[in-house]
Formats: sequence, structure tokens, C-alpha cells
Amino acid sequence: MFTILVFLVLGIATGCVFRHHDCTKKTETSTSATVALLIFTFGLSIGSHQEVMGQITSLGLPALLIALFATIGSFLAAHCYDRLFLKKGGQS
Amino acid sequence: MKHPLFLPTLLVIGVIIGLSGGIPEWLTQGNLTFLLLAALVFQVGFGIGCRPDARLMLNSLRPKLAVFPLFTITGSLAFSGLAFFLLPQMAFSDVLAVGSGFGYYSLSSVLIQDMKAASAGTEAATVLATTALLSNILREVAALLLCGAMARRCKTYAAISVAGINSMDVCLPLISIGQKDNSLIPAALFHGLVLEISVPLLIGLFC
Repeated sequence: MFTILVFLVLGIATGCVFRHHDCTKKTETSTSATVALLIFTFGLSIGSHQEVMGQITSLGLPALLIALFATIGSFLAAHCYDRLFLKKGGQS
Repeated sequence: MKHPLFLPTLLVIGVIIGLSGGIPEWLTQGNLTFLLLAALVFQVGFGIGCRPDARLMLNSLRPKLAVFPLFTITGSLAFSGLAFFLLPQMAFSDVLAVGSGFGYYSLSSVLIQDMKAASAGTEAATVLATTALLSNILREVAALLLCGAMARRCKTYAAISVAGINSMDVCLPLISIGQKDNSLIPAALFHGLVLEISVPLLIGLFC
């Protein structure tokens, strides 16, 4: 975990150094390419594990429940923020 | 690469090739995955650091809006934690790790696979990572379906929160259409950036 955080901080610091150069488009392209490679190798990993493939159908319900609860939690958290910080509900 | 079906298609192609067998271990379990992940995280950080509008965005951000991402993080994690009581087969920390994706399905799944493998083994890590992938895909779909409707009903901050990390990209046009408040776009961007930084931090904490 620490190594990943180091790369994140290094990335932010390097980006700050280059902020006067127009790097946004190139960064988006390279990031997209890296994401594509990662997703592909992740697919290879899933497919090559027989045990994981056998459990794929049983992973749908946990995934759905966590997504549902997290979305509801986000909505309610924003409602609390409205009540605490904003004068009228939903707008500042 | 921006087509919404591109990454899911690539994933399915990878799975099909993986099923065919004969995939060398170095492709799926070796240092290659870690190197790609490190490269991605570096580029994510680089993208945040080199934003030409970062200083402008921070200057235009009202102090009250600066704490808004913390509400999203707290609410998402608290309610993801409640899901644990319906999922007895999952560890509490694993449920929170999955909930820490905030819709960033690509990064969260590979981070979980990498970080969980050391403690639980490759198979268990891949199972949890697949759960995170599916869950965060569903979360992004929910964001796309809901945030526009919420924004139109003047529930703008709810729209930003529900969008999760997508508040700074795919959901931003849906959130900002018709809004007169100029602080909303910096708020949505800042919200997405804070969540983007929090994904590796929180997954590292829970894995």
C-alpha cells in the first residue's frame, strides 16, 4: 500500500512541476491506455482462475447490495450536508 | 477508448482468452500487474497535479464545499458497512474495501487484487476484486441514471455525491445542465478529485 501511495504523491508532485505545459490531453490518453491494459490483464486473471469463474454468478448479489447501499449512503450524506451547511434544501 | 462499452468488451475478451488456458503466470500474477498499477496511480496523480485550473478551482472553492467530499466518503462507507449484515460470507473490511471504489471500477478492482493477494492469496484477492469491479460498474450505471434527474430537481449536491468519482467527468455535464450556481462545477471537480485520491488510501486501509 505504501508503495502505491508513494507513486500517487510522486505523480501529483511531478504534475505540479509540469503544470505550465499543456499535459492534460496526453495524460488522459496515456491513462486510458494504461487502464485498458490493466482491465485486459485483469480479464486474463479472472478467466485463468477456474475457481473464480465458478463463483462469478454468486458475486452479482454482493456487488449489487454494496453498490445499492453505497449509493443510498451518498444520497443521505448529501441530504445531511444540505441540512447542515446550506440555507435552502439542495441549493446554496 | 471513450466508448462506454470499450472497457467491458476488453474485460470480456481478456476473460475469454484466460479461459482458453496457457496464460503465463507473469501476465496475471507477476510484477507486470503491479507495474501497470503503479503507472496508473502515477498518471492519476500527474493528471491531478498538472491541471491548469487547479489553483483557480481551489481559489473559487468555498470553505463549506471543501468538506463536502468527506460527507460522500462517510455516507458511502457507513452504508456499505450496513450491507455487511446481509453478506455473512464477506469480511467487514472486504465490504468496506469494495465500497471504497466510489464508481472507479478499473482502479479499485486492480488495487484490491494487488493489495489483498499478499494476505489472502491470489484466488481470494481475485474474487474480491471481481466483486469490486461489478459493484463499481453498477455504481457508475446508477450515477449515470440518477444524477441528471436529481440535478433537475434541484438536488444538485445529492447528484454530485451519488455520482461519486464520476462527478468530475462523465456525470459533470448531467450535473451542471441548467444550473445557475457557478460554484457547482468547481465543487463537482473538487469532489471527484478528493474521491480519486481517497480510493487508494481507503482500499489500502481496508485491505
